[in-house]
Amino acid sequence: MALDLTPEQKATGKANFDQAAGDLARGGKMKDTMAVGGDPTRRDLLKVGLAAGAVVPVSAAVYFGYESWKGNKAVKTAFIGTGDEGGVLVGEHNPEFNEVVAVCDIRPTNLDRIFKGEPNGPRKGLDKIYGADAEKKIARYDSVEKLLADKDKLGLEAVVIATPLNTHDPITRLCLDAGLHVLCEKLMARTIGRCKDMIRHAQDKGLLLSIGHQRHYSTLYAQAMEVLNTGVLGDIKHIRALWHRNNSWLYSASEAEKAKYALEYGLPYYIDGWWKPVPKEDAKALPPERLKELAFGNPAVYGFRDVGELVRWRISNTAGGGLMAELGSHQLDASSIILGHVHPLAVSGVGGKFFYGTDPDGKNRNDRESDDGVFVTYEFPGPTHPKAGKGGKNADDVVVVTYTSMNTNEFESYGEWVMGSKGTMFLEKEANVYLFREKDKTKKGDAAAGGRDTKVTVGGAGGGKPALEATSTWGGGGGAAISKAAGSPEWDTAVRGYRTEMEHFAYCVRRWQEQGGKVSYEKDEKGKLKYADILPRCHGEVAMADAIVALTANMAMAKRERIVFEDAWFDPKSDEVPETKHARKQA
Amino acid sequence: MLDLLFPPADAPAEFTLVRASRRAMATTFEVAVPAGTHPDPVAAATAALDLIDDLEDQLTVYRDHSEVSRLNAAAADAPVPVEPQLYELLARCAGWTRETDGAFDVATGALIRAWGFLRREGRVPAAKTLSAAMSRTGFRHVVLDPDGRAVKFRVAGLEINLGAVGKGYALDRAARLLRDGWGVSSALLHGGGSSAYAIGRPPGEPRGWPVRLRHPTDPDASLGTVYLRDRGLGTSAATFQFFEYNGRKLGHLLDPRTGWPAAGTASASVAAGTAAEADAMSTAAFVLGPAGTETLTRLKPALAAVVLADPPALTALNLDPDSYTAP
Repeated sequence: MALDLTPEQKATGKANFDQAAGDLARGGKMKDTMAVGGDPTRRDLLKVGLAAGAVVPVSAAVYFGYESWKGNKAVKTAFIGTGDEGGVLVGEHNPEFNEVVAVCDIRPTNLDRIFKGEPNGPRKGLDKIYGADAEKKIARYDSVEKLLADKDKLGLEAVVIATPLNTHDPITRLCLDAGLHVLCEKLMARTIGRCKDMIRHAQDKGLLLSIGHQRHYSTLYAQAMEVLNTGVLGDIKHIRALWHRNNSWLYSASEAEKAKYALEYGLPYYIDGWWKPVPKEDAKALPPERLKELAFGNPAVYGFRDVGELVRWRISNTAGGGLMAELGSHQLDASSIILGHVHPLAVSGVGGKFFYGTDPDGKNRNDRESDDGVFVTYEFPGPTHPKAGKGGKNADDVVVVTYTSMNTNEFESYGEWVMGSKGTMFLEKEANVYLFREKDKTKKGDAAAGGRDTKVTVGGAGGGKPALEATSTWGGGGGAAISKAAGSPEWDTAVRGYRTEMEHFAYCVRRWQEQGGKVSYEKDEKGKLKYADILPRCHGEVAMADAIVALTANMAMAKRERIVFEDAWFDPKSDEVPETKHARKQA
Repeated sequence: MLDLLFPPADAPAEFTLVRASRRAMATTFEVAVPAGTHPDPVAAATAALDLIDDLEDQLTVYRDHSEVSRLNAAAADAPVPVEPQLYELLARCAGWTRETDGAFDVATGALIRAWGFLRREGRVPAAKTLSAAMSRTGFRHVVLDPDGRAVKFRVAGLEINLGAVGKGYALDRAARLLRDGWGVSSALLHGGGSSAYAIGRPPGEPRGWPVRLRHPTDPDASLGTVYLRDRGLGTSAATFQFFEYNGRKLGHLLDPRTGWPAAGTASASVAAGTAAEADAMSTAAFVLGPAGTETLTRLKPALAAVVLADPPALTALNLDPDSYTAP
């Protein structure tokens, strides 16, 4: 089954999900994410959008428990790393929760870009959010050390870090040492050992550490989980997750672009967001000796060979983690959540640099160290598997999760298909959920008819308008204009979770300040966090699991072997990490 | 083309409709129930749509295991007993064929096949093929045995194709289930807009369910609005499938009397006591054209019709101002 559904199939799938969610809410079984509105005793209110028992999703603030925010002062926050991802975070942040007082980036072009923003898309820029005089109100720094030296002057309380992967742990450590709460982008760190250091350091300092796997703050995923938890899909034996992109179209630089870029670092051969040209300004500001100074005392681990590696850190083996870290980690995170917050049993896979490279004549075709195609298979414990932690003893109860990511075909784009014996749930691009029922072979006609895809909608009528338009329909019926049903969930803009993640982080900061004392990650006798409601949902231990899942897959592909996950890797107190046994030398 | 016209979401509406729809019989069936008129409209509608699925499985000629396919395969050799309600439908079809002088006929499967309309690839058949198909066409070759509820074909190769009444019949059955089984007192059911049945009337509209008749070729124009109350409506038009032959536009609706596509009519809508009869009579009206339809409505005063001739001339028959507003 392909990810490309017809508009009609999508409408059916969407309506099915909305109906399932609505039925649960009306039955009082979905109190957490959906509210039932419309008072059925007041028939005069039966207008469009307020059908009896209409169901509306609760706001993210209500669901994640911080609706009491009003009256709190925004947390004074610095954004460290203001490139592609930092631009999204700045664009999505809510100034009522996080007031940006400073920005920091070693690349001069990123500092310019964070103020100006982009005309379209989520990278709105600070000028748009704080007004044209944002530059006067918001300080800019070209190194973390300089920023932290000014922390008292700035009144800094927290930082949001969106820098290359290999710098997450040293920057987090410096910020924690400066007494600041940290929200760091994912992947958590380049190795699991470094993740463990981050967790322990945040615990020692008694400060918040949140990692930006934004699906933990997506109301869409929360609702999908509530529907899944009713068992509507039957036995889930397979999840197919993928993120396919096509970065194979030839790049052609205009004269103006050639003048703008440092040609000694090469121009892209293909249009590829991970293989960008290097602006002259950045090249001038960051010669190799300057990069060495900025490498937190360990250039081999925390540094960059040259500005080319800095700009293209995602495809560097030491600075980034490739497709698994950047894309796969999100979707395997989602898969673990769907399967009940379990850890995988084993991973195997094939990956390689199958497309890009350098020609024999030396022509660089977006060459890279990281794989450009990854095709990975995970074995996860099913609900009755001993490792599912529910007392089951059936070691054969395994759920297979496949993940693929490639650079040369995006027909299917990205999403997760959850395949159960009773139905399929498709989570598309973090934005839509579709639910499809399996054909019922015990019912006559169902299998041959192609499933009973009943679509239910609610809408207004009357007022002298016709209820139906009669027409001949030879083979027709398709192409029906499907309007959004009144009373079905409207997803807020925070659906992807970035905004909510930062709002909840600010809320946690204030709550701990109120409470006084150090942030505690203490657990009760059942292993649950004692203060879970005022800790980030994707705290260090959760994020480390995502890093283990992603980075171990890289090791399995590099050595073409099946790797069995060990419990101790997931325990921050244990020094056991996957890389000791399984990493190639350079990882 | 299903095109439900509801007021835009921001315009005031007088009531809320709960609509459930599903693909069946190569189109979309929909059941619309006004909110507040029934405790569980979705469950009722789902049951109705389930019944329509079951009926498709019985009536379709596109599945070899359907009762009609099995009947077509065997009835030339020996009488085939059929399910009582299917027998009753075939008996009614026989009556409609007589009343329309053969303009409506379900024993036209061989003819439809010869023209390629069964696979939706229309083509003019060779003279020999056409005459062979015509010899296997016509309900006069079908013998009905009311005692054994059995069907026998007098010629080999004859095929029953219920395409012209199946949707209406399914709607009638679904409407009966909704009314008698679920206590639904107000609903509009339709299959792809071409067949519809109205149970009762919608809130605030004593005339019945308003159904706009779409102009067959001009999407912005209308042939008026009919109001349906416990009645069915069928519409036949050659809008969506036709092909050009020697400068003639040939549609998919065949005249069983000549073996050629019917000409002279752009669209025919007929209201009748049941959706099946409305379907059958709209097919006949399309074949007969305005003049023939006028004769038909004099013979059967319970029918009402709106016929658009080709070239265009609009005729409304047996429609009073309370049940029809002209465009």
